Amino acid sequence: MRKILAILLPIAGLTLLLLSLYLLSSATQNSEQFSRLHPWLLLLNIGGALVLFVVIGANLYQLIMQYRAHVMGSRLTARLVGIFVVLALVPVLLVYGFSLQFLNRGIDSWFDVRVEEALDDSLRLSRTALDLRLNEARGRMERAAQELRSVDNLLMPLRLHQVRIETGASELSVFGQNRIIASSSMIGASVLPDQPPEELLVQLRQGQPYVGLDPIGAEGIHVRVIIPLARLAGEPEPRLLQGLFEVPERVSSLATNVETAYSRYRQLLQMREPLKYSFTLTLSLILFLSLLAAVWAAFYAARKLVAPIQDLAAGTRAVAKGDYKTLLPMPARDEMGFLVLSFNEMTRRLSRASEQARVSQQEVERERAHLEAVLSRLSSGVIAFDDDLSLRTANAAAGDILDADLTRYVGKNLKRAVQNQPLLEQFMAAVYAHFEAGEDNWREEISLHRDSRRRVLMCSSAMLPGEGDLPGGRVLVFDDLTVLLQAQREAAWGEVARRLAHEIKNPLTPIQLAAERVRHRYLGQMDEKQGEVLERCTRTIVQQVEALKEMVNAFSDYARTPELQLASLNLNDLITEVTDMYRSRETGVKLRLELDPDLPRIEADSVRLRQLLHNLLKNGFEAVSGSDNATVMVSTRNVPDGVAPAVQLDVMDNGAGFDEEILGRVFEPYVTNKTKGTGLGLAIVRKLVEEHGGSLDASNDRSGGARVTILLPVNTGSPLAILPADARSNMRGNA
Amino acid sequence: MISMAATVSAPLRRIAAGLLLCLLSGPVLAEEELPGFLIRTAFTDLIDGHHYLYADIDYGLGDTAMDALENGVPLTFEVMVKVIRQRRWTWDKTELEISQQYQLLYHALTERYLLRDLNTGAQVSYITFRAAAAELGRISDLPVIADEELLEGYPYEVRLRVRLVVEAFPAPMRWVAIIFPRWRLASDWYAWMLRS
Repeated sequence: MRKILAILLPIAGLTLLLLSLYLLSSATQNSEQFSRLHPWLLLLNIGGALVLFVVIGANLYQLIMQYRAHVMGSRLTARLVGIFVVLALVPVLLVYGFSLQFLNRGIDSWFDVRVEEALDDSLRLSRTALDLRLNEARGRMERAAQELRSVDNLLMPLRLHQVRIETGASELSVFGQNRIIASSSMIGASVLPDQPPEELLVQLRQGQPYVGLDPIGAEGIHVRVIIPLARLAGEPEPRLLQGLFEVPERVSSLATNVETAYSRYRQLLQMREPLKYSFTLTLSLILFLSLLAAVWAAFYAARKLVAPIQDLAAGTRAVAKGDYKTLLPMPARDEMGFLVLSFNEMTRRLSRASEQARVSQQEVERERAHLEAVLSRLSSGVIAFDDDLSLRTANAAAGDILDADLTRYVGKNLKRAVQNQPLLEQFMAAVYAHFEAGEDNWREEISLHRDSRRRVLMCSSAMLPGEGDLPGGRVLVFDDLTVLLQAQREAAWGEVARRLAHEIKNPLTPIQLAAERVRHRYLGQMDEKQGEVLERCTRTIVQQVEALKEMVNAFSDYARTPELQLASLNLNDLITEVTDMYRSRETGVKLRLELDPDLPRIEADSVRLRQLLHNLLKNGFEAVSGSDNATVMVSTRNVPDGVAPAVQLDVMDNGAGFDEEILGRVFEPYVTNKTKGTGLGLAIVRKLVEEHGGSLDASNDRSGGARVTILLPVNTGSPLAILPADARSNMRGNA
Repeated sequence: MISMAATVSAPLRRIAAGLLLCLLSGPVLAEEELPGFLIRTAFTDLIDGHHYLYADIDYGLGDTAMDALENGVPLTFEVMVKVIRQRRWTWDKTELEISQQYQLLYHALTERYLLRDLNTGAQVSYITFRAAAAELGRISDLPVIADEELLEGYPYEVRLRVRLVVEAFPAPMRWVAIIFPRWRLASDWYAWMLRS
């Protein structure tokens, strides 16, 4: 519909314009039919020209803007418009120039000096012919005046009629001052006589007669003669005698024809310049309108021609940008149409191919997402390397195990890029050593060390398949065996302890009893010296058996796994109660408590915690024993914003601290820097903490001394199996 | 070749002059002393229940119109009379419009000016243009409106205007007369209140 309107409207406009021009032309040629409309037609055409002017101006402005903006197709449009305008302008201007010449020459050729002279002569001839009539009429009227001069006003009507017949006048009248005295006419008495013209009255009053021709309405040309009558004695007013004489019809007709021809020629002469102006203006207007229409048509045609090319260019640009759904409108069933059809077919195929690619990509993405989900849930670390050994991707577990944000290094060579990441640096050094050695598939247990702690990773690497002949990347899968190995070790120790408790404890009592019996039985039978030897030997046996019993009991404590008796308790109260026992001892060690008054109650086994506190305090007291200003400090703190609400317990001393070599393993059995003791104290502490779902850490304070930090969950239902990062950082901060 | 150039340049000059005149004639000629029509006096008189118009009008034709007249172009004059009822709250209402047209023509053979009343067809000839113009400018006893047709309580205004009817010119002259102000001869509206 819009397309049809776009075609019909210009056609209708041009048709209206042409019709208006035709009417204007007809009106200019003095056609009565349209001459009334002439001003309106002129205005209509000027209006049409203005409309076209505005439309062309808008088109030109738009084209200039597009040209400056380097809009696709604007240059071609400008070129086409220029060509069309020149093609239209040159012939039209030529025709216009010659038309103007012909027009002016044509109008000039209507007028000829000879014709003008002939018409002047004809008019003079007519006047000369009529002058004879004038003189004749004057003679007759002078005679009549002689006759009527002495006639009284009362008798005048009777005498006047007779004189009129004698003179042959068509009307004879006598006028007084502002009145008709008498009149006689061929026409009839009912019609008033024709009044003498006012402008002659002055002349007539001076006694001068008037003779002249007078066209009287439809009655044709008459000869009018007015003669003042001589004034009689006693006459109250001057009198005028007027006679009207008909000119013979033949003479009158011929004279009228001459006059009409003369007048028309004079009129034409008068209209000569206006005619030229009129025709020139009409022609100019037609030319101007034609030119404007041609220019507009040039714009229209150029845009029509360029539009499909612009569409094609825009479509091509869209395809280049990846929009394959572009379909161009069909311009026509011509060569351009074939081109557009081919373009549309191409985009359709591209669109289909793109859709397939998109579906495939989605499939790949889905697979990738699935794989990522699987990898992210894996506890094993997985790292993929490109063939240039740069990091392609890594799962979350890899970052957690290596305690680093691996996403920062995607696309980089980890061996070179990693800095200030001790674990990662050690790990990548070991891994890249295999890569650089050209090993495709390898498996190795790698031990990493940080802060005297050891982390054991089991690594396995394999080559990935490449595309075609190109080499693929590598995948590295690793597991943190530290916890596993530790659990194995603890299990082994537990078994050892249980067996020791079982195998060793049983014979100890008979040994002790036997030793005491030997002493009791044979001490009296021996001399003093032998008795001393026996006494010393049996005492040694009993003491060593006691020592063995203590050791076995410790092993037994470590190995046993009785049910926890959980109850709500206040850790601060428990600490106060346990530390009171230590305060009463004269050890020379200062005991300081910094207990958080807002500490929440926790679900815990009070007996186990009591044992835990004893172990830690005992360790602390032993560590500072004998030193100056020996202090053991116990502090508590509420940790409400960790993984789960927890309380933190710190036991610190200002002793020598842990040896750096064993710092990472102090909670393992038989790892101790004391000369005395079973080496199970801290191992039991860890066991107790883990039974409560808590976590613990050992460190050396910056000012010296050892610090053991324990986190215990408020509710054992939310264990702190993995020490939360913030809690860990808190603990480090305290250290 | 020279004569050819001369013939070509003449029409071009005419076009240029025409266009220039179209554009400039208004403001330029408006400043010149132009011929014009002047209503010297006009009034209405109530005689026997009817209002009659009396007026004295000066028709100054100017050289252009006189030249056209003496070259056989008939000039048509229109006397326009309006009776307007003035209303307080709404627009005024034109109750009556009268148009009297007269044609003045120069008769070359008899060298007389013929004045024709186009409404009645009556024709009078004059020896001089002055006499014809004086007759044309003298309006006497022209019946305008019956007093009984006027509504009581309303003031009535009478307006009088005369003009040269350029639309009656022969076609080629018509648009020239419309465009050029020297042909636009007309008086201002002369207005007065109608007295009952």
